Amino acid sequence: MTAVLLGAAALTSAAAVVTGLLGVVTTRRLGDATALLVDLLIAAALLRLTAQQDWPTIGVTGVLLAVRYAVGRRLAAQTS
Amino acid sequence: MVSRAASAATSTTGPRAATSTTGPRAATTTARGYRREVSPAAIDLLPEEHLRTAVDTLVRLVEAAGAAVIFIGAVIAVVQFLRVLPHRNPREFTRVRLTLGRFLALGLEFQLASDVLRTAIAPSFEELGQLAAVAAIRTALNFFLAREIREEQEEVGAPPP
Repeated sequence: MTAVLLGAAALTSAAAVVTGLLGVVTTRRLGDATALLVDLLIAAALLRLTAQQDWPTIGVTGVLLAVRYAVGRRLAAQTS
Repeated sequence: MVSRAASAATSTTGPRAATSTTGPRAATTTARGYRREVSPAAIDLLPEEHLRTAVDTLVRLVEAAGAAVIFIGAVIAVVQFLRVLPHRNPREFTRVRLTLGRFLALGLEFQLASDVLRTAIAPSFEELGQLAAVAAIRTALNFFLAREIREEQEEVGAPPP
């Protein structure tokens, strides 16, 4: 199951990068595209965390969570 | 996960617990050196190794369910994104994020449940520390997701689920 989960995590990461790039190219709005990119990267990190729970993976997921929080705050500030 | 299964398997035969079943009550020595008395009937009914195996299986099932929900959510979000891409409307992106956020929140609930289950069989302080860190990350993410879903629902004007 570990190999399947790691494969799914890699696939989701690749989809996140493609989605983010397409979003930036089509809308020219960095904020919305980055938000979707980070959300998909978080999904990939959660899948990876299910497969292997070691400190590097936990650290990367924590950093992604912090980035997601910062992006969310920035988007909220833009809309308000 | 493989290593966890291996540790669970070795713990049944390894030096973690020594049980002597002589006498009317069996004495069990725990991993930290404490000695406790357990009735032989309890050992027969629910041996520790069986409990570990059962909990480990449950943990794997619940974690797999959570991972499946998260992966399906990611696939649906990418498909939705590709559909709304020609419209070039950033508001539609918010809807896609809302969909992905709902799936992530559901998957995280499953994974938090597996974390709680795993505390029953975590054998070392190292694993307990990792478990605490993972549970903290998942709980924080769940909290932020719930808040953002609520805010974005108000923004998009979608009815609450």
